[in-house]
Amino acid sequence: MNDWFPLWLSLRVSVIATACAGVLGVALAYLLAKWRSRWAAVVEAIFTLPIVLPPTVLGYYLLTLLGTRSVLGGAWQSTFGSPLVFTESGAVVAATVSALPFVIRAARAAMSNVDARVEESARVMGLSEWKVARVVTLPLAARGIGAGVALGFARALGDFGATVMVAGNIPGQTQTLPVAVYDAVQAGDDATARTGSLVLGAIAVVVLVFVTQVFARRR
Amino acid sequence: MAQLVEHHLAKVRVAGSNPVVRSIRVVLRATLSRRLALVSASIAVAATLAAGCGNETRYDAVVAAASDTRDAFAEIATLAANQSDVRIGFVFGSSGMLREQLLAGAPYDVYVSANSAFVDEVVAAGFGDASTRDGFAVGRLAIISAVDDPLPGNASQLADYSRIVIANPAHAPYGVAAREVLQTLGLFGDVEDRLVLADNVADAVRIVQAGEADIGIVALSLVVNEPHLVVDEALHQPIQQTLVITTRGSSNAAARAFVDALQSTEGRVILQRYGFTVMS
Repeated sequence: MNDWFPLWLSLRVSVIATACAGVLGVALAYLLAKWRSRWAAVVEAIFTLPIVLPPTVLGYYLLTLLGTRSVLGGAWQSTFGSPLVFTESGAVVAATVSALPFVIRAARAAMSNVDARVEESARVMGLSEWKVARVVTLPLAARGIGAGVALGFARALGDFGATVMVAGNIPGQTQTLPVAVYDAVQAGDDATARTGSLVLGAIAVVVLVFVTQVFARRR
Repeated sequence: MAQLVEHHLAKVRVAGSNPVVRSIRVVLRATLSRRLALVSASIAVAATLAAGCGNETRYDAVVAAASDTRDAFAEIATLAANQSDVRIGFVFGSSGMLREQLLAGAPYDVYVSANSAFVDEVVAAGFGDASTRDGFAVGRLAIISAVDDPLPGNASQLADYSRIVIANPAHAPYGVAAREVLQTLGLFGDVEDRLVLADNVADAVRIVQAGEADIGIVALSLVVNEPHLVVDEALHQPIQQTLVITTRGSSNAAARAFVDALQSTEGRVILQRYGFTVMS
């Protein structure tokens, strides 16, 4: 493999996407964990869709939602002067949406598992809701949140279907490593396909070991 | 372990006194900050990696081209680099898919289609510079077979094979032409259930070469250096290769340089070597 741009692009896109998905996901998960209504389950299911939908379908939805002919895409274009689709920002959006449900599900479960009595006692001691969340709920759910974020990163790094639909396969601009592997296979370039796949596999193993070692509950 | 202790502490002294609250908070803060430090350290490492080794690959122009041109255009890009010192990046796919991407705002400087009607649609939608439209070559079909399967003696023996791959006629011009060949030969009804539809014509070649199908009707330009059987042009509509510089690419000198290289005498020789019929 003589061009490493796809790897650096993949890392950059997935790091930014993980940061976005982490912040958004933890906030949404907190609201879902506190919202005592059956509608919470419906909302959570909607945010879980990206796991269930085929990535190409997700990409198609995003392309329809964010394309230059859509309201959101048009607003982005008039604000920033260039379209959102077929750019690195588009790749970040695709990766963020793919990673988000992993963060939300893990974080929501972890927050729901925090003993309500601990939070209650903090409240009794006069802490504000915001303080309770920051000092009690989030720290006690940290392992679950961390595991969700790590899995979200792995998902963002590995995304192919949504990225290729929303950001395309433009060498030097939006060709991430998974897309470059696909392109290499199409071109009969086995060496690049092999190297790219091995690198992606290695990163996945590192992330998974990291998750199990750091975030899994030790006894 | 620490969490377990805190947990029980909290249980025992639900409405505990202030010192207990303070100690809980201290322990919790410490836990939080260790995690935070770990997470932010790993993010920092990754971000440094990503930023530090930034954008070494930049292309002066991006050419979105029908996948039958992949091999020939690699040489045309070298020619353009020699003639005008420009770096050309390619996006290969089926002509129909690339048209959809262009209409959705993809930043392509040149569009090369295996179907001239697609180019006209792009121009009509305001995405192409009509003055640069050029039907520069005609593509040919060829039949290839998997390693274990012998090539047929002629196209009418296509039905003797169990799995036949063509590009997807829904969006790939070579797929349309391949289907026309089967229809003209009266074989389509017989083989319809055994057709494998590839994303694009380059993918069709890959599928045969991987042995996943026995035989394929593909672009001659992708298999000139391998055993193949050229398909009689009379069996299908001409596959008119047509290019246009996009509206966005019309101000890009590198896009013009690529088209100039393609249209130059040397460029035409390259195209002919890959089996394209070049207009005079």
